[in-house]
Parts: sequence; C-alpha cells; structure tokens
Amino acid sequence: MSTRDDTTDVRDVPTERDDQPLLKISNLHTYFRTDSEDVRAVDGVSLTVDPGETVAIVGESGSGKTVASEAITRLFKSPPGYIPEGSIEINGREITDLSDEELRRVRGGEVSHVFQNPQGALNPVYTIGWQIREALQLHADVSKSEARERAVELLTQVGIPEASSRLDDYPHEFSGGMKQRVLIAIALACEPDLLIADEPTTALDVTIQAQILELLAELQEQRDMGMLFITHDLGVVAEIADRVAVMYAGKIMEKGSVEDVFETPAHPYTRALLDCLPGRGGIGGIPGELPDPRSPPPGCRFADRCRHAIDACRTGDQPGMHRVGDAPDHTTSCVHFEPGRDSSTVLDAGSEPAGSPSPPDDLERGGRR
Amino acid sequence: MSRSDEPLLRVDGLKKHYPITEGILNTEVGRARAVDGISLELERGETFGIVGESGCGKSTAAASMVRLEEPTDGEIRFEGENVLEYDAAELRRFRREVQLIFQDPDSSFDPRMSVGDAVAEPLVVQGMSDRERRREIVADLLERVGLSAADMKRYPHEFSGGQKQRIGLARALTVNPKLLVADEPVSALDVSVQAEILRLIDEFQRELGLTVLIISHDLGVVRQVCDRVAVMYLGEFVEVGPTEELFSNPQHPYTRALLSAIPTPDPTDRGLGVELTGDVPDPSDPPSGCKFHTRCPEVIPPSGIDLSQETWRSVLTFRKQVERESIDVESIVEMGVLESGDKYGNLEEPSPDAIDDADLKRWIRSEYDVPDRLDDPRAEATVDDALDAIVDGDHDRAKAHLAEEFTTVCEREKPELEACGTEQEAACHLLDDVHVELDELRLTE
Ligand code: SF4
Ligand code: SF4
Repeated sequence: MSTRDDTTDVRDVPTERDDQPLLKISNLHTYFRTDSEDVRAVDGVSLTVDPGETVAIVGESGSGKTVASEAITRLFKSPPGYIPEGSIEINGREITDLSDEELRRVRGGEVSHVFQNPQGALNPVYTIGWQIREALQLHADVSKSEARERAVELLTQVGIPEASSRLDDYPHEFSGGMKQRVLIAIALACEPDLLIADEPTTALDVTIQAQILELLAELQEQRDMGMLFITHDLGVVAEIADRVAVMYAGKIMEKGSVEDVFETPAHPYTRALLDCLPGRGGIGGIPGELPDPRSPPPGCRFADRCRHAIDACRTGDQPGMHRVGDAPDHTTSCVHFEPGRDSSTVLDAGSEPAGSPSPPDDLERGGRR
Repeated sequence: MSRSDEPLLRVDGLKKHYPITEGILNTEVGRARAVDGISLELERGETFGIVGESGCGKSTAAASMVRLEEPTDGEIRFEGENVLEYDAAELRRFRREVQLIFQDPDSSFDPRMSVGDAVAEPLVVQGMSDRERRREIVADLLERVGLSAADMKRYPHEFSGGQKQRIGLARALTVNPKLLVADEPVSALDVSVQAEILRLIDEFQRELGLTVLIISHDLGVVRQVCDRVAVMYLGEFVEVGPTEELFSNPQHPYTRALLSAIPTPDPTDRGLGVELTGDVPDPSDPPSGCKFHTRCPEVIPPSGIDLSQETWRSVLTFRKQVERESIDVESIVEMGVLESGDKYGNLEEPSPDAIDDADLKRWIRSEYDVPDRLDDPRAEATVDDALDAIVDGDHDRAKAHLAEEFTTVCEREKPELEACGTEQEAACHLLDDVHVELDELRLTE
C-alpha cells in the first residue's frame, strides 16, 4: 500500500487485526480535470471495511462521498476523472492499477453496487428476469434454466412475492421499492464480498426505506458480506452501520464506531450536522458554503464555517487524525484534539446557534419603505 | 373585506379526482381520487403541515386549495370569501395574497433574468412602477434571507440550491402575501441548508404574522416548523393535531407506523419499529372502509377470533389475495420445488398436480406468512378449508369460506375523523372502542 499518507489517518486502525480487511483504501485522491484547476473531489481518504461489517460514509453534497465510493471500482467518467494518488486493496489485492477489463471483473465479482435511483438503473425495455439472468451469466457459466432458478431464488430472497410469475414483468410494472429490491437482487447475483450502496433508500418513502434497510441488514448477515453505505442521513447511519466516516469537502473529518461517534461527536462539523437534526438542539443549520474544490484554502477545510476555528486552523494541511478520548478507533481531524490542546473547548460547547445571517428583530413589515 | 374571526383559509370536503380515460373517445373508465374529501382551517399566523408519502395526494391538495388545480368538489374560503367563485380580478388578487414556493427553486426562475429582476417581478406585475422603490424592497428582502443587496446583479446559476431557495422565498415575500404555501421547500437540500431555510420560514412566520402551509414527506421537517399537522393517506386526512401532541401521542396506526419508520440518530436504538408491508394501493381503486386496512398493522380482528395481531394481519392479507384471485399457485409451486431439495428435485415441469396437497398447502401458507397451524381452532379450520378449495382450483369456495369468518369492521365501515384529545383528531375504528370504554368507565365510576 501507499505510505505517502501525510496529512490524514496516520493512526488508521491502531489495533492490529489478524485477518486482512476486505477493503482497504489508503490516502485515496480522485480529481477531475477542468479547463482551469482540477476539482479535488476526494482529497486523501483512508478507510477499511472488514468482512461482514457495514461502514457508512456520511456527508452532504460536495463532500466527495459518492466519488469516493465510485473510485473503488473506477465507475467515474475518465477522463476527466483520475486517481492521482492512493491505494485501494480488495482482499489484499491492489486494484488501482488494473485494466478496465480486469476492473469490470472485480465489479461483477467481488464488488457490487446499488444506487440511489432504481428507475434509472434498470433497463426499461427488458424484463426483470432477463436482467437478472444477464447479471448471473456475466459472472458464471450457467445454463438458461439454472439462471432462471437462481433468479427466482434471488427475487424471493429480496422479498418479491410470487417471484417466478414476476420474471416476465417489465420494470415499470414494479413500484419504486420493488425496483430497488430487484436491483439488490441483481447486485447479489455475483455473490459479492463487498456491496457498495450509494444512497439506496434516499428516493424512497420512509416506510419503504425501513423495509429496504432491514432487507440489507438481513442479507448482509446471511452472507457475511461487507457493506460500504453512502448516505447523507445520520439517522440511517445510526440504524445500519458498525463504523462511520464523516466526510466534508473531500476529506474525512471524523471516524469511529457509530456508538462512539454518536455518543461523543468530536469534530465541529459532525456536531453541527447532528444539531441540524430535528429535536437535537437547535434550528439553525450551518451558515456558509463549501470551500472551492479547485483551490481549497490551507488548513482545515471547515475553518470558514467553524465556530471553534483558531489561527492554527488556517495554516498548513488539514489537521491529522487525532484520537478522541480513549476509544481506540475514534479519530478526528481537528486541531483541538492535538496532543497538548484542550479538546473540551469543542466537546463541552453547547449547541447555541452559530453566527447566522438572521434579519434584525426590529425590522417589521412596515419598516420596509 | 375580511372578518378577523374567520380563519384565513377554510377548506371543506375538498376533492380532486382525475378521470382515467381510454381509447380515442377518451371514455372515462375510472377516477384517480388524488384528494378525496379533506377539510381544514388555517388560522392566521399559524404554520400548518400536510405530511404523507408519495402518491398520498398532498401536493394536489395544496394546488387545489389555491386553485392551481380546479377542485372536483368541496368549498374553499379565503378570509370568508368563496374562492371558487372569484372572478378574474379577484383571482389575481388571491394569487398575490397567496404565494408559493416549490421543491425545485429553478422552476420559478428564468435563467436569463438577474436575481434582482426575478425578485422584483411580482412587484412589477402588481403595478409598482417606481424603480428605486422596487430596488429598495428587493435589497431589503435579499438581506433578510441572508444574501446581500449586491447579489441583485447576479444570475440564478451562480447560486447554490440553498441560496436559490432563499431567493425564491424573498421573491414570494415581496408582495406581502397573507399565506405562503411551500411544497417540499427543502427536500432537495442538504440537512445543514434545510435547517437554515426552515429557520428563515419560521422567522418570517413569527415576525410578519405570515400564515404558512407546508407540504412535506418528511416528518422531521414538519415537526421542526409546524404548529399543527395533518397526516394524509390515499387522499384523506387520517390524523390532524397540534404537532407535539401528534408526535408524542399519535392516535392513528398509520401515523404510528410512519413515526416508527424514521431512523433515529441513536445507534443504541436500532430497529425501525412496526414495519408496513406492501406498497400504497392504487388511488383509482382504493380499499373499502378504512383505506389503510390493507396495510394496517393494527387492523381489528372480528370478534371471536383469537389470533396474535401479526398472524391475523397475515390471514387478512391472504384473504385479500384470494379475493383478488391473485394467488399464483404455479409460481408458489416453482419456488416450493426449488426449496424442497430432493423430494421433487427430479420433476421436469413442476405443476401443481404433481405435488402432494399437504405440501402445496404448506407452501401457500408460507408464501403469505400464515403459520402452519393457527392457535384458534375455528380460524384454523377456515383457513384449511380455503386452502383445500384453492388446491382443488375452486377459488369461489375459498373466497366464501374466508369472507364468512374473516371480515373486519375496518373494511366495512369508513372511519370518520373524530376528536381524540383536546385538539387532536384521527380516523380509526380503534378509537370507537376507546370511546365506548371511556363511557363505560365513567358509568362504573
Ligand atoms: S481544525 Fe479548526 S476549523 Fe477545523 S474543525 Fe477543528 S477547530 Fe474547526
Ligand atoms: S380503522 Fe382499522 S384498518 Fe384503519 S387504521 Fe384503524 S385499525 Fe387500522
């Protein structure tokens, strides 16, 4: 693996695990060329997923979470996208230098994807059965009747009632939730070790989301599959993940077990994000905008919006990943957690509304001339 | 003329049906009942939310209330005036007093128009010719929504989604509306931005005494800003009440299911409560009685049947399938054969005839999560008879058996909204019982 990791994750996985991780991303960068400077969508991310484990990457738009997940099997459009630096290992094998053909085999083999929009991911002109058989035959040499049997089995496993009678139906004959089930069946067809699910429930209603989350958790347990779950929704993270990485502007701000991160959120961004949730402190949001991904400012990417920012935040690189308390795996990229500084500045701060562009109180309607 | 004791907006029995037509003659073959009789009163200065899943009719309801869609039936009164009888001039005034913002702020901007012009547009339409005055109002509003007067010269594409929604809000407020209708105003935005927009709406509501109607699929959003909430399912309100009461003490099983489906940001509290099975039924063919009875986890069993709620739910779902003649025995056989391993492993063409009746009956039960043996002997006998009939291919007999034993008040009678708390109302037969019990309690006290 790459050891050029200079700014982030110096303490990644401090406890040695005997078995190697299923997925190991080290210092991953993913840039997109433009007419001017490159857009640095992912800018030094390190992360592991163990077999049978669910790791969530949570972030808002512009965080780079989707690009990070697509970079694993190089799903992004290239050019303009490229990986200038970093390493990705699946089951111990480096895959950043594989040819397109070899990567395609990784995608239909060890790794599968499920995406947000079930409408777009299914081909409207083919039956569901045909699409699942395609996925099966791509992966293994199976006869048509075997493929049909497997397709029925898969659809049943993902909770499609009377599966065999639905094989000849077209995508439009399925509801949104059912389509997502079909896509999960297709993703499972190759018996992946790692399922990468990018906002798989975001387009669905909450009651359907609940069904799909439960299904994913169940399937994962049955198959001891690793899952990388990309989401903007902290509630979903708390529901499904074992570990979580919070991303902002191309970098990981905080990571750790879900218990640790939700119990003791450390990074000011994580804390602010949690405060945005209903019933959690305040109504207010996080004023300000993301930094320009073409020329991010020096220091911490969150500095412009951070109420705890000090001078040290605006120089050098993104702060290293520092331990939070005694939890072995819980780390955050914030100067206040550097050895020798007092992290209680952040941890003990209440959730008073941050400086915000609120209108002055005395401006009454009539005050407008 | 406005009477202050009148609610700002009063809606009574509002319906919006869309004809479903077929053929070149456009013969009406059915009606999608998008909104099917809702009533509400918006008090001045309150924020009212309508929440529900996609397809429940909430957006159509809002559009019909402000006559973006012509209602099929019902009455709408704005400050006491009959909105459906407005002439063109009155309608123009109404359109000014009621402003809308939508999920996608782009839809309300002309990309070639500067932000300043876009925000000033309603003033121009209103006939304000004083340029300088328009400029002042626009500058003031932009600042109030957290932007700056200098942004007037910029164009919509230069702004983020959240900023565009702020501009949309500024524009809606230029003409001093009395009512702001916001249809999914934040659902396309990041949470950190959502919170800001909601705070702005909240502030304007308080400072300007604005009345706000928010349509959202997101209970969290509604909880954050609304004073009162209506929960909508298949074109109807199933529960209405003050936000806190409704969230802390939901009375309708659908509200309870919705609330329990929201993932909490607490990893120690996992599991998403009651799970609703199946999808929302087709609004052109809604279920009889209580429209939620096909999915309701608390659907009421007929008296004399002693089954666990879960089993009863499965039995009822099974009965409904039999009624719709959509038990697909062939498909069940195919799956059963696959899972049976050796017993039927060498069957070439699995067909129901080649399967033992006992096996087939077991497979059908398992397809519908009906236990192999029901605890209640009478119910068990009925299910068994029905299964025999299905195996014999006699669906009518199966239907008759099941219908005789397993009908519920929930499918026979439509529950009406009734009071169940100081200001809370819900439409559910479970509450009928509560009332009876309460009365009895009072009598025995
Ligand atoms: S490093 Fe500084 S700017 Fe960044 S999160 Fe910590 S306090 Fe805020
Ligand atoms: S009336 Fe019956 S089906 Fe409808 S919500 Fe109440 S219990 Fe459920």
